Amino acid sequence: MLSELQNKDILSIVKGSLYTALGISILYLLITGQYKFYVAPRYELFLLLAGIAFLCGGIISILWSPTKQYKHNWRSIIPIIIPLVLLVVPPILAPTTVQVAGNTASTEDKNDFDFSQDDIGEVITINNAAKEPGISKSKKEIVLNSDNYYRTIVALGSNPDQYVGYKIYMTGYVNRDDNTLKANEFTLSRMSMACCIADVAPIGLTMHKNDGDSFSNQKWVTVEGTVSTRDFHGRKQPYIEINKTKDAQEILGYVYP
Amino acid sequence: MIPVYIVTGLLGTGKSTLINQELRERKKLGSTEIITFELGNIVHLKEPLTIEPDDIEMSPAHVILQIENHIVKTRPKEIWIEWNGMFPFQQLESIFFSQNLKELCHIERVIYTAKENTIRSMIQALGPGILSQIYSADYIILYPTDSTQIHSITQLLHAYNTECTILVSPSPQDIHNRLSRPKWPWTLYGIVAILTLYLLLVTVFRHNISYSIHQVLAITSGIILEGMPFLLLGTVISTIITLFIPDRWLLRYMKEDSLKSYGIALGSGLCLPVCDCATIPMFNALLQRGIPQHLGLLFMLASPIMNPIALLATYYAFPEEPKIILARIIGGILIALIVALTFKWFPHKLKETQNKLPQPRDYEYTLPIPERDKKKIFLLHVEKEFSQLLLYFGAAAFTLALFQVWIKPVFFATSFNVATPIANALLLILAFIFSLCSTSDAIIGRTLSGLFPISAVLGFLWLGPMIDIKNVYILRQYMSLSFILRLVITISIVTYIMTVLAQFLFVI
Repeated sequence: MLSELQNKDILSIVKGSLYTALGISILYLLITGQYKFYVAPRYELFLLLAGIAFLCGGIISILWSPTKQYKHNWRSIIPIIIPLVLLVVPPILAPTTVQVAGNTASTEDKNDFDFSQDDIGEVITINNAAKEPGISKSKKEIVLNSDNYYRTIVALGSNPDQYVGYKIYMTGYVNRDDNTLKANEFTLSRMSMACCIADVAPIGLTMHKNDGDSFSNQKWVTVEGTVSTRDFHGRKQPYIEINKTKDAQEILGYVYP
Repeated sequence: MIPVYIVTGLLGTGKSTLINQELRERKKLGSTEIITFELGNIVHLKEPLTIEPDDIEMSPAHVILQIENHIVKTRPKEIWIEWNGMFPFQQLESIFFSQNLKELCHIERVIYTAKENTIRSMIQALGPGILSQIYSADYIILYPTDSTQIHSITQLLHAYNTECTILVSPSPQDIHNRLSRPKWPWTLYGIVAILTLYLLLVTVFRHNISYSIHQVLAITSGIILEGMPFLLLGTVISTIITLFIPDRWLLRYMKEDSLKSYGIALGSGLCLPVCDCATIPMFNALLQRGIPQHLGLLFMLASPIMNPIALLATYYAFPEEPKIILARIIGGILIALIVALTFKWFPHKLKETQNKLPQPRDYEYTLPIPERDKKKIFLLHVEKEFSQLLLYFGAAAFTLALFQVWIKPVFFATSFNVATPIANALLLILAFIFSLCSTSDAIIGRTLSGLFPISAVLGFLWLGPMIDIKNVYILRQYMSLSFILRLVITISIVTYIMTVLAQFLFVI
């Protein structure tokens, strides 16, 4: 096998290996779920197919590579090296990963809306069971997690009146980018990705608490609040009155439509 | 290992003269051997070992044995080969990379000699054999009689061999100096240097460089990762069109100017889950197979809008407004049709594609593979086209990332209280610059619908899938600049008129 490869053209072997590596790294991103830092999950199938195609195509082109050649056009490997290197040694993908040192960030939802251990001092135990995510009309309750975050906020935003008085549970970071807000208001946000990393933007709900100015920017909190509305340039907007808060672990990753 | 210098070129281009001059220049005549595969008229300085040209094809094993015996007997320090210009370079490789000879000697340099007034017609007449030699040369030496032709010939030769040095009437001294210097693979060093720089940047200096640089790199990789599956799918389908679809099938369905052809061009988008990156290579493959340009264009422009994923995404983004989906489909078809018809009535002269001569970018050294080995040809074709497109796509992704990080924030900081006709134009420009994938632009359109009138958003949804920066980059691979310019301008004008119409329709 090895002696057979010695008689083959080095450039074709290198190219084949690069394609194989590209396939493996795409499959690795898929298996570990890290591809979600680059593109929205609905590309999963296409990426899977492409990864398999690169892997197989790479191996086949090593096996089929022609015999030794004198001339090697090394330029032709540049297009394959670029994505490979970018994926294998990625740049910093999300700004928050810089600020959070160590292992305090989690990639999973905890769905932990138990406020009994709340260190802010408002010790009121609500039912300990993990809450059912989504909008519950019977319980008048809205529970957001990574899966339903985007569409629930869109639903809430397009028809805020319908949900006035509902209890809302959500986790996000304190965002004060919107400079029309008062000091004790902020947007509890998460980063959303519509299609790929090129279009990430914060999405969230406007929150209010009397001592809301005590929350520092970018701090991750879990909130229990009550939905009300406010008038924003002639349009009704959901507006959350915060009842309780507690510190939360940062959730890595984006929310998707 | 004995260094072997190859001099090749057609009969009468000065190979023997060059070898004689160089041997005089190098002053190692005693320890140099000459092997010639050609029966030329010029007498060599030293009696060469002459190989019968017929033997190259008929009995290569005998040729190898002859050379081996000669080397073992004479023990030279240097070998000069005069290769026959009619035989493909692959045959020379199969001799010198054979088990017996690769232990004894290695190819040091390859020189190709040519006459500027005949080379162009020779490439056309002789094809792959001659091209394989031009492709493999380190130096191409031209002996011109008419210096006005030099520039265009140099360009032609560089198209086949980007890395060679072309020397025009060099002095023997000059050639000698070049051959004595060691050969540096600059391209490889360049690649390694840039890779090292990148690796240093994202590892050692990861936290020292500005976050916006990380952002540019991250966005570039995101767009590339998103586009790769579709580019691959596009090249696979376009290769199938090029290699496997029989002519009579295409003739029956696509070549005539009938309603059926228009229907197929428009409707095939519905069954192909591909976006604009994939349709452009397919468009080119169709043109190559002789499909009229307006039908090809109709397919290229309509498919990204008609594709089922794009339609679903549009529905998903505007669930409560079905008229937007309807307007997107109908408007999209109308625009594609009008643009395609302008190309039917005033066809664009396609210089590159109408030219039946082999194109430098299509040249593949590893061919000739036997015609029947379609699997190998398929893989080679897909790989080549894909990697070329990926390079352009990568460049487009980088441009877009720069735009996203440094220009977009400035742009969005200004307020948008503009009249509707201006807003319409503004969003068309945005659609062109944003270069979103047609499968996901609806969601961005949704966000924009809060800021802009609905006619402008529709314009955004129409124009984006048809033409944008990314598409221009990919189209540039196949078409002339004047074609792309005409396409961009026609689509923009037609789409703009449609947005103005939509503005009135949606008010009522």
